[in-house]
Amino acid sequence: MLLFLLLAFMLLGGNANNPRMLAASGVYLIFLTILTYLLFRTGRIARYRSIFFSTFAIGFVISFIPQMLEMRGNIGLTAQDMANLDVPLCHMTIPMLLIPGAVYGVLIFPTRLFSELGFFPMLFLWLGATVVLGKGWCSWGCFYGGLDEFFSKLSPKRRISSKKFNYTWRFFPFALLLVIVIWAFLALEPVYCTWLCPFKAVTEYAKPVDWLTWLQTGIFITIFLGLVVALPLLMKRRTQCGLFCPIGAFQSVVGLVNPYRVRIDREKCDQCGACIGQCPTFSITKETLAKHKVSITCARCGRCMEICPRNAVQLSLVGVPLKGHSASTSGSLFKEVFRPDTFFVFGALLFGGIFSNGFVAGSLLRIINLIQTGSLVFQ
Amino acid sequence: MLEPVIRAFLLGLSTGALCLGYCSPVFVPLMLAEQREGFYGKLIPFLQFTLGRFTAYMTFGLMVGWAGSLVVEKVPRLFIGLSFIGLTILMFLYGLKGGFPNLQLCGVISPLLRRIKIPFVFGLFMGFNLCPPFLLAFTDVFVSGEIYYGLTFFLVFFLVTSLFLFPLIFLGYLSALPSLRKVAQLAALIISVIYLFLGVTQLLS
Repeated sequence: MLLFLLLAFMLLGGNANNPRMLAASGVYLIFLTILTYLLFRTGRIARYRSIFFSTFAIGFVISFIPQMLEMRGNIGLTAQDMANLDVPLCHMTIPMLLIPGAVYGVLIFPTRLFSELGFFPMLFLWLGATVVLGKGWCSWGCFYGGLDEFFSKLSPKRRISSKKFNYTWRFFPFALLLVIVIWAFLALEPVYCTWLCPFKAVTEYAKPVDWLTWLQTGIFITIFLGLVVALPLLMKRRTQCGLFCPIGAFQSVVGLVNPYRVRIDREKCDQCGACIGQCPTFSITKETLAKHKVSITCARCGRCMEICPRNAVQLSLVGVPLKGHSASTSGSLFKEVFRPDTFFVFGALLFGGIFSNGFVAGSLLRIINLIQTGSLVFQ
Repeated sequence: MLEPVIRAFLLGLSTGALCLGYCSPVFVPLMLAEQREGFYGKLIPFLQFTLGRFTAYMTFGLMVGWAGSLVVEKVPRLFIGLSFIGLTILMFLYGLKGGFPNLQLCGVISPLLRRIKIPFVFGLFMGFNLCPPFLLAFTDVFVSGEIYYGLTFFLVFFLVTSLFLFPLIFLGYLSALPSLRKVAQLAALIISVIYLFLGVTQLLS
């Protein structure tokens, strides 16, 4: 109820002057309320989070592309757009901006410092999300992460077994982070955005004009199709987030400021290994499970908590001893409300709900526009 | 007599931070990827790396001072391209062997990797790369057109820029963490792909 009221205040209050957006936000509010109710009623955090997260990402893509077309008339970035500093910044660039910013005092991304989609708003949003969600950003707040989550849920059956998987690859995002931070410093450009970001394929990219920009576009599309579509479908895992995304790796480290951790109860866990094969971000391995630990790459998606047959996996506060609870067990109302997982999910849904509203409600309006006029772009 | 010393000293001092940046893609994985005992254990690969750079710099100093315009016109792109390709091959094998120890590399490569002084070869290849500070040094020496000037200039330039690399030795202490070693080995693989791209574009252009 409290979540509903807070979301209603934030979602509807911000759109009081726009009746169409107000109505769309109202629909999204009802959707979120139903999801929240089902999540807390059943204790199935992963299932209902997944629906929210996928809706968020799809809503983002549906909203973003037409919005850019309205702003600039073209989804491909031109040199003029970059010279005008008209490029919206996303959180993916943040690690690359830090060293050149500190050493040379320059912003190596063609965006404005204070505009709506510029550097400081995104920096503060990301910092806030890091405090509230920590690495949970990757499962509750990232507007790209829901895409490979979505594709990982589409296939009914796992085609590639995780038994053959070499878990060394889960260090790849950290290696890529190291490389892009050094490379961005040397080249003084956001090299991940220029060369490797798979989500350029569904947002915006430098307009292909020569062999180099065609090569870059080819890389974006290949990585997107491989890591966001094909492998999630085949492995039923979030391969882009778990095996590639350097910003996820960065978030794993800075997200340690958040006090919530997924932990494994030594007394309950019988090392059955069910969580190893199910963790979408490859954060539990035989080695970590043997130590009753989860890797720092854990994105707090709740999947392991949901599938553990002995309820041994819990979301708790760092430094606080584990209690005999889990998301699916019931106790008194007081105990139910004042549990770490309840607090975390409450904060995550509140943050995610407010953050996603502009995109999801906006995408609803664009879909209606598509039905009425045949175009997602508002005239 | 003192002119090349002073000029190289000032150039090295002003561009040393950039040297650090250009060498770090190779030197950082090198220091992190293998656990080495004690400070001297970490100092040795640094010295081998810098010896590699020294050899390359002296070779360049000699060649530019001796052959002058011929070197400037013909050699740089070929040298850069080949050194990038060399780095690609070596870093790829280094990352593959360290990151995936169960992988059976062919009977020739594994013993070869064990035998050669990898930091020295990395330093040699990095020394042959024309990074912006090196290009400035190169231009200065070319204008002089003297062997003595070239050798002295590159010797001093090498010594001063090496000072900037020295703090990276302490990164070696982080290699005590097995997960960071894996990260460094995989980073070597990624960097090898980047160098491959750079090398091919240099050779084709």
